[in-house]
Amino acid sequence: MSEKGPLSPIAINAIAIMFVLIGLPFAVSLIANSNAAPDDYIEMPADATSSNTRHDRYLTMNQTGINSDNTNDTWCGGFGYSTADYFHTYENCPTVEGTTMYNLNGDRYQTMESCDPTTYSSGSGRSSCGDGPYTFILATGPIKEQLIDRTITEISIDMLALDVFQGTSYQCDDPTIFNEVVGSMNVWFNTGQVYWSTPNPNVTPITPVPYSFTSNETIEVFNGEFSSVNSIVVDSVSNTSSRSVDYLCQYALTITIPITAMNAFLIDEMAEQNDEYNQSWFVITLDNLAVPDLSQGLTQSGLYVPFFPQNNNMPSKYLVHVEFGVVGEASGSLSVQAGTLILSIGLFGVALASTEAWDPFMERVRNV
Amino acid sequence: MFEINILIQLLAAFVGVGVVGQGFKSGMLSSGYSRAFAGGSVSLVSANFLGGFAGVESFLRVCYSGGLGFPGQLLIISLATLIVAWGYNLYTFRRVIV
Repeated sequence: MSEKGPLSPIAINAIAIMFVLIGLPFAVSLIANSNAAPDDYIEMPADATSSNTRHDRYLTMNQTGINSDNTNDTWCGGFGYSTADYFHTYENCPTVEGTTMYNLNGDRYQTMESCDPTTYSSGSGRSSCGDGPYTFILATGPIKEQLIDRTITEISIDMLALDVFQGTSYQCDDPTIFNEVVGSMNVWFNTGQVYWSTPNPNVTPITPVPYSFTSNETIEVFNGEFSSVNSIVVDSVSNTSSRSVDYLCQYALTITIPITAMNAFLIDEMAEQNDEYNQSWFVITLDNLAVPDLSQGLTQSGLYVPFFPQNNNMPSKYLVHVEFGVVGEASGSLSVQAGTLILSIGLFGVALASTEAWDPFMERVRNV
Repeated sequence: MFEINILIQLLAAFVGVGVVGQGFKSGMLSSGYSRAFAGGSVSLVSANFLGGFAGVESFLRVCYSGGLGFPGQLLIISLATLIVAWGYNLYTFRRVIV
């Protein structure tokens, strides 16, 4: 067996260059795309005792892509349709002011307006909420103080039909109602300026709503697919005593957005430079909603998600619960720091191996 | 951040010089023109790769700004040490790695 000699200078050079060109990006990718498990959750405010001021209204459903034909766009229920189109300027369906906050399975839900499939005064007739994309704007202002010195690693949004508290619920194992819903999802984090509407007595509600967002800086934090079973078990709802135990589920949609370590750090950095989350928001766009398994009786046209109205004749309301998963230290998770430390040592090793000090160093190491 | 861009450009330049140096030593790139062309190309591609595509720049930016704490600062110091070592080698020995 031949004895292995020391690496030739050419090999050492090649290894050093490969480390920089391949090893460094690969290691950075591994570290940056890691996703730490949250060690705490921040729930968006939805207290029954909350005054529910405009700053509590953290989520809006935005009618993106409004165009002149008004046929395929998503509109919001609950705003001055009986008057002029002017009021559509404000049609970012917000969480509803002054409504009861609901407590379901220990989580607090706020009420939101669904999209509106009906005719509005001067527009054309419509029969659906459009084909998307459905855009949600999630303002971080209401929890800005809790986000300082913490890193966001996950956002979880639960939506469910308001009917869960008021009317019919359904058999959970009925695949013609409840099934897997898939779609594409894009999430951006923005900093800039949030504008609130001027109170207008002709618009319901008359209190200001966020109607415009001017972004100074944007980063994409997620781009991929999502999957959710569109049901939620409601057996612990306090007013369910009159229901049959066979009917325990309601339409729902759960979206979990993982935030990689790198994006979390960039979000921190952007927010710190812009009023510490007070003028920051996430934009979440859902599109291409579909039922992958149509063999069980659910039709594509029968796809139901909470932000669609309960029936196609009028807009309705639905409930939203939002939680931010965070890690306690702004400096990131232990695994990310450990990975960075190992990479630092590796880079320092390459630096040392590139100099004449390498051989004496190795000799000393061997003699220890 | 300007400082991080400088670090990446220097690193890419030294990688280009290192690749050309090895190529020359191996009998390739005998003409000055081909060495200049190869070095420039490798440096350009490396800088773009490290800076944009691979996300190294964003990561270093976070490290530099203190977002990763001590390990991040150490990484910047290690990278700076590597660049200084390669620069010194190039100046003293006319090659990147000795």
